[in-house]
Amino acid sequence: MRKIQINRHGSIKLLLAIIILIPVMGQSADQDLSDDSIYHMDADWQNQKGEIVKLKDFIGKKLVLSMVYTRCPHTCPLIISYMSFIQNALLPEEKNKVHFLLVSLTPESDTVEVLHKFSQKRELDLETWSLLRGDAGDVRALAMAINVKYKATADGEIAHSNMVSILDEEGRIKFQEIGLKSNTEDVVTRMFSDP
Amino acid sequence: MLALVLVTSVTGTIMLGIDAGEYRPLYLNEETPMVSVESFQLDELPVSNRQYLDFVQKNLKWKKEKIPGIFAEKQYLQHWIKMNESWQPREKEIEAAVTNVSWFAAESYCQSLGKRLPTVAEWEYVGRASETEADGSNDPTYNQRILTWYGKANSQVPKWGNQSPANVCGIKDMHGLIWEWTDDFNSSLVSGESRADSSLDQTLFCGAGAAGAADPSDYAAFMRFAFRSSLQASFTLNNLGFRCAKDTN
Repeated sequence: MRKIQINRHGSIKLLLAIIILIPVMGQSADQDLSDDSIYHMDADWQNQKGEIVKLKDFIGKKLVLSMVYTRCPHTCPLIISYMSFIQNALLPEEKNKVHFLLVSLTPESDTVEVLHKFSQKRELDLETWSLLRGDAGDVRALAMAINVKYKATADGEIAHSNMVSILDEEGRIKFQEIGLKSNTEDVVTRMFSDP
Repeated sequence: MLALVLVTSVTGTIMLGIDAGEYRPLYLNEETPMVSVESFQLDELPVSNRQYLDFVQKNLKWKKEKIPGIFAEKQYLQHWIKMNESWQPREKEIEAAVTNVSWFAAESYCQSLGKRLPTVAEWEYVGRASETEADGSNDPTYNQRILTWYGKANSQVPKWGNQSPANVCGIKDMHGLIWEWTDDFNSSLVSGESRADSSLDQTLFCGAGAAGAADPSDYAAFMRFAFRSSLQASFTLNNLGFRCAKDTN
């Protein structure tokens, strides 16, 4: 993506400078990451606007993350409502410190258009929410990293963990809400508490 | 039902074509549907230390000294030794199956060759074949041999492969050498949410549940499912390695 934009500028010097700099920058950034950060995963993802993003782009924010799929009839609407309740429970000064991330378990059918429409239907504020789709292998790897289990069932649905993960600013799992039982205000309190 | 097609990949690894088919997973009852497996290709042998060394030399982020904790435990490649500032297998163990690798490492290795890890269904479909039968689970001596291996204490590395005859699919060392990673190793539990078979958790893990399973004699497969569900993707164990698979083009 970055390279394409540079090609449009047509500056070979700039392109060379960036080719030389990217590995150096990438290396130092990776070394700064904490050992158990999910930001070590450097796959490309596509958001609801069709932009290419990396998980690392969310560094510095607390993340409220869940893996869902838009056709999902039962648990996913509940998960997304639960995440919205968490957002509503944030204090005004906390609102810009938290980002809400939905990663599709069915990237083939959850195209950019589907994700965008879904975000409109659910009235998600796209300043603070992102919907991502990625390569099936990268979806599986992310699921492994945050311990989300999922499997296609015979009736065409996806059985998956009913879980919301809360990550700190460095991409480490702070805690996970399995079964969405906790009071959302309590979730916010724990999200902002010291480790 | 199972084809014997030899496919040699560019790296010199032999892959064999496996015909599509279906099998009855051990943990389902008689009324639940069979599991279908599309045709695919599978490595003849588990990945060796030599092959894995070649991978880390080309993909530096998977070197023992570089790999972040989220991708592998500290014991990653612990049977390798440090020579000239870099970790490598002992010379005499170079052709043995690589172990002490995490799921992330195994998956990334396969991806680097345009392959992937086999799914649980694919692995089990091929793994039930004995040297003479496509479905060795009906052969009591075959099951007993596997169980005897499970009953042995976990021996140390190296894991010398390629010592036993291939099964009827031409695949070697699926039993008796190492445990192997599968792409969706931890997903057997979630399918318990499926309305068709809500008793899955129980039938999978309780001894009593085996009475309702399609084939209670296939205790070896129960062991594998229980083992897999105890794993996490960053685990590295000295008896856990992998082989790669690929979709049929």
